[in-house]
Amino acid sequence: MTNIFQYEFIQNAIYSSILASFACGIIGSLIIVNRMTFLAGGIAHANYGGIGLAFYLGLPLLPVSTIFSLFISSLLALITFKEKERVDAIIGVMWAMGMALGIILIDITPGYNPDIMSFLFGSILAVTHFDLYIMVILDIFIIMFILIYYRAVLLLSFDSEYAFTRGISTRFLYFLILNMIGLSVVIVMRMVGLILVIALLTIPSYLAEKLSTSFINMMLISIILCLFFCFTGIFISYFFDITAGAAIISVASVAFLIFYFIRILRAFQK
Amino acid sequence: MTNKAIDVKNLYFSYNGSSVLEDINLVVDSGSYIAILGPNGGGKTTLLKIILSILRPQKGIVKVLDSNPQEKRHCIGYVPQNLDVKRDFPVTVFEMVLAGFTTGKSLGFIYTKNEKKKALQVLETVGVAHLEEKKMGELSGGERQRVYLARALVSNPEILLLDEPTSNIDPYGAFCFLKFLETLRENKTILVVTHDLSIMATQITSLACLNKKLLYNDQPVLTQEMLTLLYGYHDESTCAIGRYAIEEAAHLKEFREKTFDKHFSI
Repeated sequence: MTNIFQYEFIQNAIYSSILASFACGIIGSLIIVNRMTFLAGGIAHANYGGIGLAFYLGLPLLPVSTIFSLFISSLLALITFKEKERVDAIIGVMWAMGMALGIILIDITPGYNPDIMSFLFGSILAVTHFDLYIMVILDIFIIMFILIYYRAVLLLSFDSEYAFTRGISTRFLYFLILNMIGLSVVIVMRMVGLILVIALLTIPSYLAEKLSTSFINMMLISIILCLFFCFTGIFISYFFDITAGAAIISVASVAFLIFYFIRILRAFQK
Repeated sequence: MTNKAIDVKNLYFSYNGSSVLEDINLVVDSGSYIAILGPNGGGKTTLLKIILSILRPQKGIVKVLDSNPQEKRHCIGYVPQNLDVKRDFPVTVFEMVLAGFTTGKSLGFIYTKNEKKKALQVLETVGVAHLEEKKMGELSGGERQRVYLARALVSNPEILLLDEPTSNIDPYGAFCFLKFLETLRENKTILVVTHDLSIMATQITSLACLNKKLLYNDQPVLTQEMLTLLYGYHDESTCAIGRYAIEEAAHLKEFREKTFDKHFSI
């Protein structure tokens, strides 16, 4: 057991798990209570365009992805704030458009074509020190956001119309929330990949919601669950030589299924 | 305190070309307790949303305490319709009432001691202090409505606006809630928008009926004109509904005065 921590990639994986857990716990809770899972999925998948852009321009991956993710999130926020009726269709378009753009940009990038699979499903070996620094900065933004706007976010999430009558700028806050989702996607994508990001943003928070009586508790429980899933997944991937991202999501999914099974059993007992 | 709490002049509003409010004129004096009765789709909630500045008037003027409604948001306590509840939302009754202090300028994470003390006091006043630690999703319709009322009252607003406050409550719960509203009349202007005739059995000071157009009576009495506005006059059935409405209101008032008030407690 002690040997495992000697490897730098394992150390980086542990650090990135901690950073990802804060993002997933806080922003995942917002996604669940605001029923924004599909929206978050759209931002995550569209972010493939950011990866393509980084390769095409020959620039570092995470900074370019961050800017692209913020652009996509802002665009979705502007369109979907008023167009609540057709949110699903708009998300679907952005989702596919971002991915198509990413594939085209990678195709036309001269020279070596990167391994697409590692971006779609994550690669724990790929987390560098530079990535960790970027993740720390993005995490600071997310923690600052919730510390400053917790009260307004709580009210907005429970009843947006009432929040508006209290003088809260619901449009601005919605815009910020979507941008924070965009940042979370960038933090988590190196670990579990763009396709699996949504699972880590929703499963811990979904379970935490059922176990909490207050919003702050939901975020804290979600962070702890996320840490547990990540650490367990990393150990399983190391000992069984499987992809870490998929192992993490598998652990989370098994926990989800066990939880659901217990709920069904309890419902029958009543 | 200014004399006019709410002043609406020549207000028009339509959704996608379909007229909802036509030439609405209404003055709500400070300290009054007014009910606006109207059928579903009659424009009640639209009028309320304009007063709350959620919607902007397309034509006409709306003033709240002699100012633009947006500037006086902090003076209004709003109790929304008790319909769409996120049952799984992890928020306690206490935190929901504390949220009534939140405004656009509320930054930070922590509620002050003073806010917590006031929230507890208001929970006791509305009679739901024992539910303090419960999740909002675990409450009954009547309990939830009282919590929303506590949330509206906690910032001590001058005006209280209630949208269909008895829509999801059984008749006894509705009576209790409306009776309780009367106890708040001191220093507050109360405006209740509803289709529930049991409001007629409370001590409202004035009445308005809204069905695209608005008729106002400074006495809490339904006039024939109002009934015509609400139920129409073209066929026998609508006339019968109108007569039933008047009789129902009278019966409710009698029941309340003779029976309910004697046994009522918060």
